[in-house]
Amino acid sequence: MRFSIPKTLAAMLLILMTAPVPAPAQIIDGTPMDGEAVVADLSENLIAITSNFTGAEILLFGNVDAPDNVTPALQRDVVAVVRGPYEPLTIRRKERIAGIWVNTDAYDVPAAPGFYHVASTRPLDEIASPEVFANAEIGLPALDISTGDEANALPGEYREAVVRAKTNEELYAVAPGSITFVGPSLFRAEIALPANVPVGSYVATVYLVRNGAISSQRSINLIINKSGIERVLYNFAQQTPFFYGIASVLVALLAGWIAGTVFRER
Amino acid sequence: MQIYLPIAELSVNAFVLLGLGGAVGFLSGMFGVGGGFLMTPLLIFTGIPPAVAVGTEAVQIVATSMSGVLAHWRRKAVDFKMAGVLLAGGAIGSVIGVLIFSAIRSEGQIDLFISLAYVVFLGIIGALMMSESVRAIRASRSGKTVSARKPGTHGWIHGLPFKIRFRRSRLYISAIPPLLIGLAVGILAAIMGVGGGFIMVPAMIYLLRMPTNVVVGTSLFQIMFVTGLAAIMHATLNQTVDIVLAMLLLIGGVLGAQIGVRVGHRLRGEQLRALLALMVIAVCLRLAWDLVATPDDLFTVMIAGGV
Repeated sequence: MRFSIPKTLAAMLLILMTAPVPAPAQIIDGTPMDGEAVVADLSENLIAITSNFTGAEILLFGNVDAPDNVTPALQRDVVAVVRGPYEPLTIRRKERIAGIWVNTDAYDVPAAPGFYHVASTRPLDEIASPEVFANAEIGLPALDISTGDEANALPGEYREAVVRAKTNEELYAVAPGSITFVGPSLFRAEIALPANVPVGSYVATVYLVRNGAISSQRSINLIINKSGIERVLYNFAQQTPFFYGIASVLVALLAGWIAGTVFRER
Repeated sequence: MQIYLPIAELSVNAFVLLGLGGAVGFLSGMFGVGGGFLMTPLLIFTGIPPAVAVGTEAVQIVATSMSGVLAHWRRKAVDFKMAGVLLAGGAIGSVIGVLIFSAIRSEGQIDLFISLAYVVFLGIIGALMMSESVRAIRASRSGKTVSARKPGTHGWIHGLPFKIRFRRSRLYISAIPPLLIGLAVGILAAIMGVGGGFIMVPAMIYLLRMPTNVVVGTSLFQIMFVTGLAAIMHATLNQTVDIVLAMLLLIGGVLGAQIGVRVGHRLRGEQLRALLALMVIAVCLRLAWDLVATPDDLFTVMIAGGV
């Protein structure tokens, strides 16, 4: 705390000195930028699920490309959203009927992300207004979980149930403060993927937020796939299920026969 | 040691699964039940999706039954003719059961239906077995010998046509009762994800009046085929058979079953039945409690069309 006041003062002085000079327009990632841009990447773009997979941690890192070297890092925020493969959901509610709990009402959601992780430098409500995040679908309140049918909209408590269930499975997470700046422009964040992470295509989108508005964004693809013997078995079970079933039963019969023979009573 | 299951798509402790397989296999060998009625709920408790638990359990029961059958076979305690008749009914029953299963599943009531079926059947059978074995134990303590089998008793079963001589069971009865028992057990096996031994064993003892020493081997033999059929159907229709999970369970299971068979032969029949009755009642009460107790979350979120 002791050093923060002189630092801020110095930064403010620098801004005052440099502010009248307009920054030259830059073109990065095909997007014209009149200020700064964000570049980012993941430590891995392909995650292989093998038999010892117990979850993974990927490192998201990047750089805020400043128009000059003096704009302070403290005044800009970075938000990263990792979205997993979309999947259809069915949400059911139980009610007590004649003493026992019975599923009564059900709603279908045609597509909800199987994984949704929001990392940010600060809590979202300190970075920008909810409208800014709602438009970009950033944060759990802005996440689109709906029936896709206006006449049969998903009630709020069903939506909450989805978020609660996915959060319990560690598939949905909000991690304010998990993005940290290393030096004036370099930032990093660790994103945890639990063991039950769904396989498929993921997109990590990094947003640069400045003065309450998204000024730049960048998307990185991530593939999570099974590999090795897991992949072979999974494909066998999916592509030729009948033969997989027969093979499973034969393996079981063989194992039982071996055990029965080995442990034969004398 | 954590291991990733390719079909269940989650990571579990391999030693927990080996231990579960061993414990259930032990009971399976001792009582001649497939053990599915214990294993299926236990797998669901460890976080395996219910559909995967049911499909995989079928494969595991095939293996434990196979090793159990071998032990009984050497003892000439398998009535193949009776098993064949039961199996004919069982094959038809399991197909009917799978059709009922998918119809109820699409209505979203399969969990409730499975639990209710367990509570009703385990409750009835547990109570019947308990009262019978308590009576037998009391009678033997007072010096009398009471057999579950009452030779020469002629009930309505003996009036039915299509009589077959079952030499090993020393029975001359109609093929209709065992066919119907096989059918009923096949339906229940497919719906409840079990082998059905816990229903078939008492049915063979009390309805068909088969001698207790051939009941276990014969029921294991029939279970092996019916669950094999069910496993192939589950794999084909739902892709819910996880062979890695099955292998872990059956490594523990086959070892446990071998020990169980030996221990079972040292125990006396009525004590064995009383023990099994106790276990059946315990599982029944647990499931009944889950139906009545307020769940932690009134909502369930499922990936539609998935496991």
